[in-house]
Amino acid sequence: MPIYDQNYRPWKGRLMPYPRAWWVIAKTHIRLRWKRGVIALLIFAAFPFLMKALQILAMARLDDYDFLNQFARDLEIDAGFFRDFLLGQSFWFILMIILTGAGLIANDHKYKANQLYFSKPVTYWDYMAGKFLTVGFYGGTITLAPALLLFGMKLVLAENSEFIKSFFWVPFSILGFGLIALLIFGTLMLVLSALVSARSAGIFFFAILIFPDIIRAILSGVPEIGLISIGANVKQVGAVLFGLSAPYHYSAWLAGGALLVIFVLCLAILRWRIRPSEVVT
Amino acid sequence: MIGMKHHFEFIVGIVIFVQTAILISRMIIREVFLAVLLDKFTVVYGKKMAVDHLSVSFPEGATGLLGVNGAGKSSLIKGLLGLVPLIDGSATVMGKDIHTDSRQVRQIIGYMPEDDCLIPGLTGVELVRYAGELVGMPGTDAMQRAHDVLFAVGLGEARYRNVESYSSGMQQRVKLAQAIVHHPKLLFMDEPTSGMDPKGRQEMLELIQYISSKFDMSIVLATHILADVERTCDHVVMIHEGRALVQDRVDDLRGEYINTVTIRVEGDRKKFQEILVKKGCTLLGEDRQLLDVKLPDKGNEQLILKAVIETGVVLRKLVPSIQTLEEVFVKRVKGQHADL
Repeated sequence: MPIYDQNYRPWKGRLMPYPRAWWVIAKTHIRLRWKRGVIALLIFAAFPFLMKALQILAMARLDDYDFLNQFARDLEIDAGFFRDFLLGQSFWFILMIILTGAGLIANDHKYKANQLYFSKPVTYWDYMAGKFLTVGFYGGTITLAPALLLFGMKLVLAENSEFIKSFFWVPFSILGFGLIALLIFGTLMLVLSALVSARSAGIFFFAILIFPDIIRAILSGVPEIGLISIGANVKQVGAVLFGLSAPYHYSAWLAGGALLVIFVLCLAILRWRIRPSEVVT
Repeated sequence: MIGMKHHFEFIVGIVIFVQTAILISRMIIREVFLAVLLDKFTVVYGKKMAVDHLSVSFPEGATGLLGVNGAGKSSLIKGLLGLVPLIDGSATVMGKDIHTDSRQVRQIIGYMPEDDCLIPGLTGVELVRYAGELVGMPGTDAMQRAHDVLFAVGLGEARYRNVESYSSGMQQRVKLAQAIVHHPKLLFMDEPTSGMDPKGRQEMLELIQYISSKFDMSIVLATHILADVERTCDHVVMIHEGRALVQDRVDDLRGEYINTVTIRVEGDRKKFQEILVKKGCTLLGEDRQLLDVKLPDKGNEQLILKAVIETGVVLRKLVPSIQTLEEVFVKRVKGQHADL
């Protein structure tokens, strides 16, 4: 049957004058990544959280069960506990960023989908915010959300107000540390996705994280060499945020500055690479 | 009883009059109002001038944007949509300035690009819904409409398949679906029939014709396939090397060559041509011994035969001349290069 017989009907609804395109992009890609098996990674990443949760529970019930004393006597729940949890999630976090972020822009380039976005009332910032939120959502699900949950759990199980009085600032540290990690690693992933294919983006991302650490290990006599490692800089800044001693022998301010430079550079590259239409001259 | 019959006839007469008036006014409005107006519109890629100070207009209705590959058709559309930067000039789309009202412009238009333009992993219905929501349709409307539009373009059965598994013909259809999901006022189609089999091409052209004639949706059809334009469009804008060759109604353009014949004679061609001119014919051009001659308004082929007899040349060929849009286009392109 010819298609015109199938009765095209006009749509007479009203368009939103300022569509929240960033939200539409984010929710669509979050759903799309979910369909692609992110769930398996989420389950693996939940194990450390469960262990920490058990630890908090054990600490709260020390007096009830003597056998728990053997496990929990030396454990203390302080700012370092939450920082360590976040650092412990690094592996899963990196995997999650790669799994959810590598194809986000690379596939748009491969299938020339940019025209689909930018021929509609979608701005560059809508596009970037939508893509970043996709990575941010999944990255946050295995770092920020469980860390804040653990803090809430400890708060609920605390016998007195001493814990909240001492560590009321920790949620802000968790938020700050988590957001810095998300901004740096998420933006870096998007840059690589904008520069190369999805598969190469994942490989380059690993390389950028691992090689500077190898160099740092070789040149361990020069503390400032740590500045080339994104992971070391994030740890350095994280230690300050949690009020802990810095793990490396160089200034946390310098580390923060290095991260800022990387972030600005990433934004500049994204601005250059995200074009509505590929121009062939 | 007789009085009632008179009343009935009177009412029927009024209804017919009003309907005719609406039809005529709609046709006039389409002629008068412009879908797109370009003024010194210029798009440059590096050193290449893709669109060169183009000043043309596209009336409402279906307009064909014709040109060979690399003529600047896609660049013109991309410039209007803000996908490539403008170097100079201005443009309005449905009365809205593309610089100051770019967001509104992109809400009231639909764009079916030439490239793949797909999001891998999404099904057909998800892609069309996504496109609808990006334009500003509420989520539920976008979903419902996605189903409707996919049925309309003939992808009803395949709407739950991932778009990357679609054949090229199906991809063309889903691109059309995402472009019309919000029922735009103006639809830009860039090579809509490329990669389609003959049946699919036929269906696509029928849908274009149907939408542009039945609904309040103007269409700009960019293509190098002149037959597609001839079949679906009322107007045509021909561009070549970024410049306008011609802008006219399709019928008028072809009409220019009515009463035109192509002749090949052997013998004294110069004298033959002089006689033709004396008889009121216009010589349009000569190419490889073929002479294009426009007959005077009331003239006919008898005039040619008389000239043949008078000059004693041997008539080898006498056929009606250029009639298709393709031939018009070729002629114009040749004419422009002759000027250069």
